[in-house]
Amino acid sequence: MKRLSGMIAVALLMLSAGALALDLDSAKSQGLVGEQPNGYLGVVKATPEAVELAQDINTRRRQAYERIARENGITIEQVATLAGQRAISRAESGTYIRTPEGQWVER
Amino acid sequence: MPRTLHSIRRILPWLLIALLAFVLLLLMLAWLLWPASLRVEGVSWGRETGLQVQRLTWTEDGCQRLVGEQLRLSGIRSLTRPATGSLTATLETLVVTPCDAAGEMPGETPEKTPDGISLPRLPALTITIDALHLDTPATTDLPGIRVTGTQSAGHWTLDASQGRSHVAGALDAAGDWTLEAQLFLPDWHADLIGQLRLQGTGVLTEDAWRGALRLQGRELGHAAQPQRAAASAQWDIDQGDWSLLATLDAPLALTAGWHLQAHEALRARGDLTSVTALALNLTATGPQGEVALQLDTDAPDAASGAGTLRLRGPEMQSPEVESPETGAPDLHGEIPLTWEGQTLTLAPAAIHWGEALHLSWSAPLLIPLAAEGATTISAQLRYYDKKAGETYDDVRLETRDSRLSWTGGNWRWAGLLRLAGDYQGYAVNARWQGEVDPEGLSGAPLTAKVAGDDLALTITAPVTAMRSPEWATRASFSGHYLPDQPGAWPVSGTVSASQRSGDWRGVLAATSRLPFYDQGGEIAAQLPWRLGADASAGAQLFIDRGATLHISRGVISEGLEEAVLIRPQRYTANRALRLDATGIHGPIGVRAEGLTASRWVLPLVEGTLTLQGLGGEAALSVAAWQSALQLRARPHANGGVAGDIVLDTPLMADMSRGLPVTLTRGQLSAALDWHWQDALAANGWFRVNDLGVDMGGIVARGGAGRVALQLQEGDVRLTSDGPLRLATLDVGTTVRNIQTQVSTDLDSWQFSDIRAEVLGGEVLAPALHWPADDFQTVVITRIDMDRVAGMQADPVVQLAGRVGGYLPVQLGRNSLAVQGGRLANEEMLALMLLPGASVRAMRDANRAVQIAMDALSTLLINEFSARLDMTADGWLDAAVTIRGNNPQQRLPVVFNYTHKENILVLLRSLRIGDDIQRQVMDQQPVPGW
Repeated sequence: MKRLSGMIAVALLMLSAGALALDLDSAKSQGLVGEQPNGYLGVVKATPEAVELAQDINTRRRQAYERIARENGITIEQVATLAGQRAISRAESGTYIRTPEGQWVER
Repeated sequence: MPRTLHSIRRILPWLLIALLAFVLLLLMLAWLLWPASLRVEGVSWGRETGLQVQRLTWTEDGCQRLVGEQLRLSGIRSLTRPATGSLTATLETLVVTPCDAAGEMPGETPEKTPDGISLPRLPALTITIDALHLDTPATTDLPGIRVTGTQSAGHWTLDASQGRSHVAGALDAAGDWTLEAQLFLPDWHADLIGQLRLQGTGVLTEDAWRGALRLQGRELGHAAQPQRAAASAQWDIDQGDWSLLATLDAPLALTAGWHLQAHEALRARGDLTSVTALALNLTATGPQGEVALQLDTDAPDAASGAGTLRLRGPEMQSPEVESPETGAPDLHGEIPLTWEGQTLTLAPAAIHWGEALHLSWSAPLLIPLAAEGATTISAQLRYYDKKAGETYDDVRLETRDSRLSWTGGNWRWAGLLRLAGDYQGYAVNARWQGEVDPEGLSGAPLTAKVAGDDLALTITAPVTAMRSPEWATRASFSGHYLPDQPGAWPVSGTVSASQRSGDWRGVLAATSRLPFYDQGGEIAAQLPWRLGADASAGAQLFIDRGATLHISRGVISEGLEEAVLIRPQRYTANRALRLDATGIHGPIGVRAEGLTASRWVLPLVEGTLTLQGLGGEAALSVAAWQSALQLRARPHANGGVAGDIVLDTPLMADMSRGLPVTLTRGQLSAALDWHWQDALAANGWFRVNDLGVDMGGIVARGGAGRVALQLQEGDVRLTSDGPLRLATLDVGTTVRNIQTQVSTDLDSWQFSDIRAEVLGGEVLAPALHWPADDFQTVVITRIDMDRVAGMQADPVVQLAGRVGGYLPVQLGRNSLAVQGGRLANEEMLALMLLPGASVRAMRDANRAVQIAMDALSTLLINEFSARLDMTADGWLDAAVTIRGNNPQQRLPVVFNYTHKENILVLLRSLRIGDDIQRQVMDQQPVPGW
């Protein structure tokens, strides 16, 4: 039963992430938001919509990081840093990523 | 009977004639009075009372010149039979209203002065008016004057009285007249003191009229002031030519603290149409300054002369004149004047009000001395105020060849006004052309431009609605804030104004955008305002209750180091707000819908902002967080602004979205006194209770402590007030009862009295300084080896006994080093290897290991010692010596072991292993990947 509940939760999370993906992809391609080394989305071009989108995505990411960190006995920040490395390495061409020095560059 | 009929026949013709004559008299009277608009009401006749009229009015050209009530005429028979007595007329009240001269053409030459006056021959008559009133603004409140006039055989008398004042005059048949009056000034005005005596004699005949009047005043003054003066005047007139000599022996107290002083006798001559000679030298002195008028003329036949009007403010007055300080700027200037005929000429002059305001005209101003006339005005009003440094205010209001005309009580100005200059760093230009009269303004809209580094505005104000009594206008303005910046922020709106019930009211409606917003942040203000007079404080400007200011959603790119979305804000005047030189006073309701950044959110904030000029206070709450904030600010006695902040809030997970830790519980309270003068200084404390923090795999509970905060010239100092405590810290094993005291400037941290319970023992340190180059000792004691063994995920060894020692540590900013650390057993230790796959595998590796592990399989340890060193880059050198025996084999054991490993690499591999990396990188559905 516990396993079933977990699967349902994961499925719902994946569905919600998918529903946001279009908007997020659009925002990334327009250069409104970009990936950062800290594992969270950053706002490249400040618009109300970009800030709201980043806030929504980052809230969900943090929940996921917290759960992973709790399950593995490490800190949220460590998980987020790993996630940031992964997101930047997989960033598509034409989108913005943030350097460790804090500069936004187009990939 | 026949005798009676005979008598009737004899008088009947006379009766008919008398009746006819009476009718003709009435018709003639009506014919005479009809054009004069004499109207009578309530006419009745009584044998005893005579003719009675309840009310009579005399109206001419729409002006009600006379209104009389209760007129009684008796003794009418004396008109035909003088021997029967005199005609008597009595009036209860008579109101006389001075009207503008009708039909007189301006500038019309009056008729030649008559040689004398011939009074008509009238039957004896007596006229009595119980209350005579003169209906003018100055005399409305005066009580009625009782007047009695008589005439008999050409001898006239007049008697008038009011209170103690009395006037008596007489004119005999030969034309000699006398006048005697005694006037007590308090009868006429409560503020006036003293009495006047008037005596006159003269002649008034058909061929000549002349006379002399002598006026003497005693104890003259103002009731509120101690000064008293005596005055005298002699007025002689002969066939219209007159002369006047008046003296004042001491300053005469006037109203409002003013005094009038005559430096020499006033001498004047003239005729019935003009003043032909005049010499006076008067000075009026009051709280606002001094006005001196000196005139002198002695033209042979025409009115001409010269003089000076001198204005001096209180600080420039003669030292012998006492004058209270008013704080008002000094008014001073000198205006040479001349007059010729009926034209007064004011020579070019300047009048200064303080150091800043100057009124001047460079060409003579010619002013007709007539009830109707016109003059051309070219003048300039300049405001000049030199500020510190190179800045100054210099604004000039000019008119050239504008025309001021007047007729009777009406006047009209027509022309062009230009305003130009610099004020408060703004270039100001305005222009208006039109006409002004007592009823209002007419002409083109007023246009103005204001331009500066941060503001450029164009203002247009139509004047067509500026009419008495409301004087309404609705000006519109538009422009830009920071006009020279890229994408200047537009400012536009309207401001209406009108006068009602003595107050000026209107609405300021404006739109703009906050300059520090990168997007959005449009401002819409709807501010009803009122300029009302207050008895104690003078004119006061108010923004009425219900005024609103709305700021729409917007974004600041670099707000708090990242983009911040500021949700809509609404500010509402809960009551009328008062504006003065210090600022706004009153309560404002605040509803700010919060902030959103990429990683954190501030929910809806509501509360009240109470402004008190330069200070104020705010009481704000965040309902979603159950947080309350109180903030006060006020001007500080030594300069700047000071205040305090009080915060009380629970701690919860929603607050920590942007933090590397999650606040799971707790309560935060803070109180802070602050002072801002070029820099922020603060002094206060904050306290945390029942703090719970979750860092993922590391969980802390039961945090508590109080920390004092000092901020001075940019330097922060935090000092714990008593120990900071943490009940538990779960890092895989649980550390309990952690406590320390701390003092830091956020760069250097000093911990003292450090204590923690771990693995059944304690970790102690008297003081630790981070960062530091020195090696600082940490003491470890009573570590329970059984609990250490319990940390094994797959147990291979069982331990018993306790270990302690010390570790000299070097706490670098990003490193940790140990030098000369020592650990030793504090009691007998026991060790037993547990059967298991890993142990078997090691045992089976080779024979030597098997022998060693057999010896160590069960071991009682008498002596355990370990030497530990670790460099800052993580390389650990450990040397362990174990002395004991294997009780099963009765075998003494001495075990020496050395080990070298990089601890940082080891920890990284242990804590973030391949499984975790894989979980994070590949499997977890993290949004946005």
